[in-house]
Amino acid sequence: MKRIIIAALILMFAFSASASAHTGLTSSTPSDGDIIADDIYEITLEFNTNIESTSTVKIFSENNEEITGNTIVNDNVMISGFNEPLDDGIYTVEWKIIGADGHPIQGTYSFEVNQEELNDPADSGESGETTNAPREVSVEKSEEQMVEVPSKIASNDLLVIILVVLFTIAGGFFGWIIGRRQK
Amino acid sequence: MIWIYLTESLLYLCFSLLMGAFIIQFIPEKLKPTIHIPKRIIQLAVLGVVFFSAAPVLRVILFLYEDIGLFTTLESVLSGFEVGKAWNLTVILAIFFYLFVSLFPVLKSKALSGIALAFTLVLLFALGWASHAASLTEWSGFVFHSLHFLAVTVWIGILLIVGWCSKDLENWVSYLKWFTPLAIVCFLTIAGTGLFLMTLVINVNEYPDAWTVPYGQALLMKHLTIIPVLFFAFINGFWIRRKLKRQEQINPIPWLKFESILLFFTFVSTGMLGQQEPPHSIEITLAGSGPSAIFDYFYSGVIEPSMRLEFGLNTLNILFFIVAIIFMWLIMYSFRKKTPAVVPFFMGMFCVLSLYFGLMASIQ
Repeated sequence: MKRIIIAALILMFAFSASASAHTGLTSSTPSDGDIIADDIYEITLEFNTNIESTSTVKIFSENNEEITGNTIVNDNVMISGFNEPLDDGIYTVEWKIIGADGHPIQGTYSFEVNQEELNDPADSGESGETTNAPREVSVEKSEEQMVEVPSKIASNDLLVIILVVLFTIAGGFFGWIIGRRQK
Repeated sequence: MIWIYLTESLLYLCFSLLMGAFIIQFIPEKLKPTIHIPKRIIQLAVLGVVFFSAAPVLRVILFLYEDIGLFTTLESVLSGFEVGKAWNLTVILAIFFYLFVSLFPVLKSKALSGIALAFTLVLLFALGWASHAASLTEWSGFVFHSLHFLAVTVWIGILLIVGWCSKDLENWVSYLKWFTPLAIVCFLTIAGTGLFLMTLVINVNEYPDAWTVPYGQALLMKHLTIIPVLFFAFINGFWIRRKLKRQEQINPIPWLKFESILLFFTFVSTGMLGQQEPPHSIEITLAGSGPSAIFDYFYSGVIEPSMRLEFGLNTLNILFFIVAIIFMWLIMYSFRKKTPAVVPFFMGMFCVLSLYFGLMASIQ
């Protein structure tokens, strides 16, 4: 029985730990979901903790080609610069950092460079609008991801079963202690 | 990730053993039972400190080496990172410490025990240096983390040594006379410094909200596992003393052993806690990393980053709390009915589970 309980505890710990993908990113330019109409020479990531200098950021194009850049780390900011501006397309940013406490944290996000559609530098109002709009989209998207699939087991039933089991165990032990005394 | 929780817990265990083994040397013979500590245990504990404290460093290296190459990683982690630097110091100190305990009869002389105790303390501070709390504040995080850990190792170290290495029951009442107040002081220190360390990471008012993320779940587990320990400590400190004074036949050693096993569960949940992402902002953590899988399982509503949890009593959680109280009562009852100590040990574990599920069920 001891083994079963220990196994159950370990399982419980394992489950609570499995969702421990970390985040430490507070802001970035371009940020997640942005559609950028300008030339981009660098990306900037800002974290909620000072980071060690071996932290890395990689940028991948749609074809999964890595764009090489020079990365500089300064306190809690990491900047990766490119020699040439990014071409049109969707880019994925993969960052891996080590916080000052030694906790490794990683994450990805993506943004899009699209100069063809909105290549009208004279109309600054419109470009302002476009940077706002995708942000809202990205917020909605992340909320959608949080919505839970309703098909999982109704947790109430499980709790009732656990409760019954616990009461049985308590009763069983009580009976055992009483019975033991009478011997 | 499980290996890192285990190595953390074992690291705390090694520190406690060292601390307890050397402190007990300073207690006069009249105030403690006959204790025999095998030297092998001291040596293993020192080696354990080296290997188990390497785990966080190893994790950083594993995390990085694919990107920048193994050699560069080793070089920069060991010489540049705070965790690496702290570990270097740990290794150097531990090598000398190991030679010291191997070559000298450290458990025979008070002076040598004193030096060994100093080694243990410095190692303990090296660990505090690399802690999460130390990285957040100028000095207070380091001081409070070290103090917290010191109180834990003093209390549990003596408990472990007396529970597992004592050969007889001589002087038990006079041992309890000094150990019980010491344990209470240690516990209050742990609670006070723990509260401070908690405020570094989360807003205490948001404590229940933190249950949505793995860090909060680990914190809750840690706090719940302390409850049965307190019941055992009460039995060991007061009831057993009363019985011994009345010359009743009772063997306190199994009770101490099970108290220390319960404390090991607290170590495990502390190890988990130390390796989770601290939710300085629950909202950002929840949005970025997602909720704890276990919380997700029990919570039927929609989990949103900005949500606050509402609590309420319902039939289900009232029943859970009732069964928890029954288990607490059974711990005491089984002591009074002189069952083997393993029975209340299980009662304690079931009590933790009942409380945990009761709290989870009370989220509306």
